[in-house]
Parts: sequence; C-alpha cells; structure tokens
Amino acid sequence: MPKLSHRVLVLFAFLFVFGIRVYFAAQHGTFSSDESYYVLRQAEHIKATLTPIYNDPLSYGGKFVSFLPTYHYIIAGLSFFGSNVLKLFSALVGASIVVVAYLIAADITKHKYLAVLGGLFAGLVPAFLKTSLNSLTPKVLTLVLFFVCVYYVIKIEKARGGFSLLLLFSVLLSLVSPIALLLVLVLWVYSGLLKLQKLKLRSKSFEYMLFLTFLTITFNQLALSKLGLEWGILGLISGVPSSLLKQELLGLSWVGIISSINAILLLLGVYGAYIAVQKWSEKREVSLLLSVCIVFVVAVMLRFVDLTQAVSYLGVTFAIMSVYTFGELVAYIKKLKLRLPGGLLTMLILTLIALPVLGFGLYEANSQAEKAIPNYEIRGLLWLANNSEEDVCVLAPLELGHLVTYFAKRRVIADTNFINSKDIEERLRDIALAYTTPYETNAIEIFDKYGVGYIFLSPRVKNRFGIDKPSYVADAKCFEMVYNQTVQIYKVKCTLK
Amino acid sequence: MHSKIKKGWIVVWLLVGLISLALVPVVRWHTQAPLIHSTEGFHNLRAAELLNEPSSLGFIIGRTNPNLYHYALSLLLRVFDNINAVVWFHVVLGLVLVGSAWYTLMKLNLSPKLVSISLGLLIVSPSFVYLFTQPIPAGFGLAMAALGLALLLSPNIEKLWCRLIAALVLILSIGSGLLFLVSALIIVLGVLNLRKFKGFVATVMASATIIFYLLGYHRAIHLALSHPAAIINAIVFDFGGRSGFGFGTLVLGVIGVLFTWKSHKALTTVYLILIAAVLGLFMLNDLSALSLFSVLYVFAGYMVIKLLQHKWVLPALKLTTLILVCFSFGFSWMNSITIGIAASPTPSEGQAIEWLGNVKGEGSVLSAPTYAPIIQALAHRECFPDPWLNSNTAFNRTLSLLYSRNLKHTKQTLKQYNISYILITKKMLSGGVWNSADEGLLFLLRNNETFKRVYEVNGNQVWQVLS
Repeated sequence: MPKLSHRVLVLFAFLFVFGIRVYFAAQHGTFSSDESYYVLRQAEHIKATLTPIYNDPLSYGGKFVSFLPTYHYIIAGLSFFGSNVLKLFSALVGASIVVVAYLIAADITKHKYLAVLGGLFAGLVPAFLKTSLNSLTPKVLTLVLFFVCVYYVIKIEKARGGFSLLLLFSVLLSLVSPIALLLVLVLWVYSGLLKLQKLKLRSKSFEYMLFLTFLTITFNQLALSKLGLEWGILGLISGVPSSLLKQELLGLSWVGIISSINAILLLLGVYGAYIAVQKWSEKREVSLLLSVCIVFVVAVMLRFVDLTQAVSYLGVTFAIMSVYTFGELVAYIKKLKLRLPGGLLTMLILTLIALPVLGFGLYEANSQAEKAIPNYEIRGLLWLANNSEEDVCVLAPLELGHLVTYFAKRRVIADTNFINSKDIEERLRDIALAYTTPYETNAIEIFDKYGVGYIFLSPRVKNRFGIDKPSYVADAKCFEMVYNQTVQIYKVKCTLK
Repeated sequence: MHSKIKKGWIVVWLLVGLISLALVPVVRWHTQAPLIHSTEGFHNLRAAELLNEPSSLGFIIGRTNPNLYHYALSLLLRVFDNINAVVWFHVVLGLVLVGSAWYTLMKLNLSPKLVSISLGLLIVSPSFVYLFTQPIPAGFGLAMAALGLALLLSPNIEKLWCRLIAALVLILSIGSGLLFLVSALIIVLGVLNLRKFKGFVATVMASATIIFYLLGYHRAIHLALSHPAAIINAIVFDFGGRSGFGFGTLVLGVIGVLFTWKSHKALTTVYLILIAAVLGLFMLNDLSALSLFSVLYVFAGYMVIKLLQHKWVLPALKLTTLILVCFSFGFSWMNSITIGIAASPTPSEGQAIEWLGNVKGEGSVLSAPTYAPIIQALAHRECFPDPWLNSNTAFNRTLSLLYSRNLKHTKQTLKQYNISYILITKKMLSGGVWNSADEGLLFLLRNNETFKRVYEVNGNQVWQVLS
C-alpha cells in the first residue's frame, strides 16, 4: 500500500475539522453566540457609515465602547457576500488551527506523521470549539494568528527565515486583539527561561520582541487610551463582574477545566511537556510553549482573559506537546518484540487514543450547534423592532442583550460587553429581580429606573430564571401581552408616581 | 568640547521643560479657566489659605496635617495674593528639578548622552507635567531633594553659605514628604555603591515610614487591596493614573533594569528595600511612591541608547521600532497635556463656582465629590461632602442624594446637612454622574416647591433648595 504523504494527511485532517464545523454550523441559520450579533451590528454600522459604533446608544442605556475594530472591518467586508460566507469564514479560520498546530508540532518534534494527529487534536479542543463553532467572535482569528506567530518565532529561532511573514502576522494580530500583549509577555518569559538555561535569544528574535512590544503598546494606546484613562486597568480587563466570574469559576470546576481541554489530551500534553523538559537545553522551542502556558495561567488569574479563552490556548498547546508523547509511544512499541506488525499495533493504539478525543470533540460541536439562537426568538425581537417605541428599553437577560440590540434595535439594561459599564452587579441583580419578584411594585420600580417598556419572555429566559412567567403580569391594567407565540412579550403600562 | 555639549544640552532641556510645563497653564489661562485643575491641588491650596487665617494660629488641627510645603505655599500666597502664582511657582520648581538632576547625574559620572535622554524622558512624562503644574507636595519635595543633592555634590559645599542652603532645602524636602530624601539617598548610595550604608538606609527607611504613618498619612489603603491590578492604575498613566509613567517609558525602564542587571547585581538588597518601601508607600501616598521610581527614567534612557547603538539585522525594523518608541512617549505626553487642559474646572464651571461664591446666604453646596474641594477653594463655601473629612459615610450619602428619586428622603438629608445650593455641571449631566435626563436627583428637580434653578450658563446649573 503506498504511504500517504504527511501533507496529504494534514489536508485530510483540516478538511475533516472544517467539515465538522461547516456541518454543524449549517444546521441552523443563526449563530450560536450572542456576541456574534454584536460583531454583526458593528459590521453593519461600518458598512453604512464606514466607522464602527464607539458611542453605543443601546448598550447599558448608552455608553462609550473602545476596541480594536480591524476584525469588524473584515466581517463588514465579508458580509457583502451573505451570512453563509460568514459561517464559512468562521469555519475556515477555526479549522486552520489544525495546519498551524501541525506545522509547530512537526517543526519541534520532527515526527511529521504524528504531528498530523497533534494538529487534529488541536482542532478538536472542546474549549476552542465552544468559543469558535458557529460563532463570529474575534477570539477565533486571534487564537490562530497567535499560534501562527509562535510558529514563525520558532522558525526564526532556528534561523530558517520567515521573518517578513512573522512581522506581517504580528501586525495583523496587534490590530485584531489586545491578546498581542500576551504574545509580548510570552516572548519575555521565553527569553527569561532561556536565560535560566544559559542560552541566548537570537538577534532576530530579540529585535522582533522589541518591535512587537512597542507595536502592541502603540496600537493599544491608540485604541484603548480613552477607556484606559477613564476606567483604568480594571476597565481594560475583561471586566467580568465578580458574580459572573464566580459562576464561571464554579461552573468550570477542575473537572470542568479538564473536560474543556479534554482529559486524554491533557494527560498526553502534560506527559509530552515532561518528556520535552528532559531535553530542555537541546530544544529551546519547548521553553516557548511552556511560556505560553505560564502566561495564560497568570493572565486568567488576573482576569485579563476569560477562563474558556485561556483554556483554548492551553488546549492547543497541550495538543502540540502531545506529539512528544506519541513519539515516545511509537519508539517504545518499536522496541517491543511482538508478533504483530509494529505499524499495525501503532495504528491500533493511536486510533484507540484518538477515538475518544474525536468523540468528545464531535459531542462538543453538536452541543455548541444546538445553542444556535432559535428563530422564534428572532421573530419576537423583530416584532419589537417594528412595533415598539424607539427609545424604549427591553427587559432581557444578560445572554440576550446583544440579540435585542441587533434585531430589535432597542436599549437593554445589560449585555456581555462589560468593559466601561457602570453598576454591572446592580443591573444583573435588577434583571433577575424583575423576572422573579412576586411584587408588582418592585418590578415597576426597576422598570422606572431603566425606562423598561417591554418584557421579553422566551423558553430560554423561563429556563434561566426557573419561571413560567412573572407573577405580576397577571395585572392586566399594568401589563399587556402584546405578542404571544413561543415567545411572549408584555408591554409595561404603569409607572410609580 | 565636553563642557560645550553639557551646557548646550542643559539649555535645550530647560527650554523643552519650560514648554512642557507651561503648555497647560498657558492654554488654561488663555481660555480663562482656573490654572489649578486637580482635586489635590485645590485641597492643598485651601490648606495654605487656612494657615493664613488669623484664627488658625498656624494649625488646622483635626482638619488636615499641614507640612512645610503648606507653610511655604501660605507664604507665597501672602506675598503674591494670587492663586495663579502658585502654579507658576511650581513650573519654576520643575525647572529647578531639571537643572539639579542634570548637575547631579553629571557629577555621578553618567555619560552626557544618557543624562540628556533620561532628562528628556522625564520632561515628557505625565508625572512631570502633573507634579509641576499643580500645588502638590510631592513635586515640591522632589525638586528640593534634587536641589539639595546637587548642592551636596557641588564643590562649593565646603563653604558655609552653600551648606546652609543645602541644609534648608533638604529640611524643606523632608518636611514636605520625608521619603523623598530617603529615595534620593538610596539612588546616590546605589550609584556610588556604598554598601556599608545599606543597614543605615534600611533603618532610616523604616523610621521614616513609621513617622509618616504616625503623622496620619494612612490613606488609600483600599487602593492596593481592592484588586491586584489596581496598583497598576497608579503607576501607569495610560491605565488611568493621575500622573504615573507613560506605558512606553515604564516598559523601557524595566527592560533597562533587566539589561543592566549584571552590573548592579551587588545592589540587590538596596533594590529590595526600595521595592518594599515603594509598596509600603503606595498604601500611604501613591504620588510619593511614584517619585521613588524616578530612577527608572535613567534606565529607560539607557535602553533608548542601546536601541540606537544596537546593530539590527533589519535596519528598517530598527527605524520602525524607534518611531514606535517615540510615538509611545509622545502619545502619553500629549494625553497628559490634553487631560490637563480639559480638566475641571472648565472656564464655564469656574464662572458658575465664582457665582456661587458671590451669592449671599448660608448653607453648604452639594455637588459631585470631585467638585467639593474646588468649590471650597474658589467659592469659599462649605461643601457636601466635606473634602477634609474624607469620610466614606459622607461619600455614600452624596451618592445616595445624587441617585435617589425619593423626595422625602432627599429633603430630609438636605435639611440634615444644611444644604442650600446644588451645583450641577455639564460634565455631571453627560455621563459624569447621570446618563439620562430623569435619573436620580434630576427627576426630583422637577418639583418646583422644593427646588428652584437660580443659575444656568453653558449647561452648568445652580439650584437653590427652597424648603
């Protein structure tokens, strides 16, 4: 049987992951994350005015938002070709991590065939699928660009060229996300680790490090300076309110974190890191991957990135490191004097390892696709867009905030864009109280406070707050049901005098 | 030739320093805005004014802890009788710092190029612009410490007059913030590598911190404890600090420390003491703590020279990096200037506060807490919350007054604190306090039995409380 080239295999792996992403994304006409609709709103504004929305009148009743808009411009450009192209773009970018991880793994381990498996595993990291499948967030492109830069740093460390491409991708990464600042930190930690081994950073890497340091500082100063000056570092951090952070941390216990990376992948990666550290002084690039792990663990502790995002980066790094484990395993099998052909046994064992990783990846992809925004919610929101007063605020939970601002084009009490938002904790408490309180006066007081004119009630909302409907809506004088399908919408007619 | 370079550069830097410092006051003066634009500045100004009142007898016991700086300021106000003179006095202090720092660093045998670049970075730093355009003891103490050091290193120190002046300025420095002198000592000891003095320095630092604490300077402890990243706010100007380092300078300075580590590894103990002192001082006064970091400008200057001298593989990358470095410095500087120019009180806010000063009638004025020291200093009226008390209860009461829509409760509180006027500025209306026209107190102002608008110019309003 002719042996397939590793390049062909990596193409198959890429097409497999791309296929999975397209298949699950195509099952629904909508995106799976609320944040995607924020990106779409920005993109549509760019299409109409050529500028993003910096003074958002709908988010938190009106606020200034500050961000790097490059990704939104890319989406604005692609949206001319329709929403299917956006879904394809998201799948393409997400699946390309297979190729990037393969290139890194092949370069550092020299196991070109086994690196394909590393690439495939990187494409199936559950946390990454959770963030990126059927989603339009800039996090996907950021992660891929981050690892492309890591790959080219490894190349220049080995004096194998690619400097111009490294500069190009670094500029792009710095323009897309402040995560570029973490790449800078990774490089500084890397140079520190090299120092520990009495090794020196190559001249080109050193120059690149200095260049990237000031490039990211400049871009972020330009994009975030107003916010930084007004809100300080706490405003620039992900801004996740502590109550939500607690929920996130409680929801993602150690078991949760392990399953987000995938337990098998984690074991393979940790063992791979252990093997790599044994050859530390010979393999300087290992220090680079370890630096990625160190920086992201610290970053998540300081709340610079959210937990799922950090776990995605760690998952991809472990997938790359797992190739060391495969290499060791294959070498061990070769040493065994078994009656079975060595190649067959290797294939069998690798398949046995790969199957649960694939299975779990498919399960995560499916559950992510099922989170697609249901059409009945969109119909309800479109009804609001056509039948409600323009300056009214809609009561909707945090998870539906961007959907309301995108489809209904109405104000919300809170959405997941926490940066530069006032009284987040209080707003979240008020939303929960407004849905669950048995007292009409409490609810109306909250509605008065934010100018709420409509209550949005969908199966997701009912499930979220464990209610069938707020008990106070029974008072027909103050609350009128104006839309009654799968979603119910109530109009608020009373105020406290 | 060597002395020619020295003289030429010092003139250049003094001129650049003058431009950097004078820009904000000149623009504010041109737009007729009050030259002082910081809460702390107004606070210190009021302290100095109170010292001049006959009843104070030189003490304002229970209200503040006046130090030598406040006495110097009160003397200045007596002589010139103009609060703008205070700002120009600080500009001169800034130039004194530049000149003294130049002289001291040259005396310590640092290369003229390094001294020039370090001073250049200092001059365009947000800290420099803030500390030497506002009446803040930190700027005064730093300038006095630098002048004292320069005099100590001068050949004239053998003469009596020079010793007397050096002693006077060092006492002024100690009196306006004891740790400035200690910081200067550490820098000198560090540079001169006088290891035998390390124990002495540690003792002085510990005593100074205890004395400072006992004097009552234990504010802002919550700052360091609220979030691990909050301390960065105070250090990095671009991340929300009032002054602080520009992000670029800080990064270059830290890289500079790392790169020169081998040559000053022996001073690890001194650095550890310095770091401990800075962290401790952050709990007391972040501006003083920042001043201890001034040595970072020298390391940043060193890195700029390294960047220039390093042979790059790609010369275009070198040029790009240098442009980015310069942009980073320039951006922080421009931001600090812009903030200084646009800061409260704006010309129209100044007019409204002046109007409040002229209106007859008793009672205090309610406004956003940031305006309280401004009203006290410019309108000479009692304020709520009282900026001298610095109490959390008063602060929370103010917030509850500004955000409450409960008329009964609001009337009770207004009566309880004898509030007869409410100052509402344009900035407060556009996101500073409220986001919509009927939020909190704005909703209650519709009640014309309780409130009456008595002033409105350029969006700034004064409301009288009727009952």
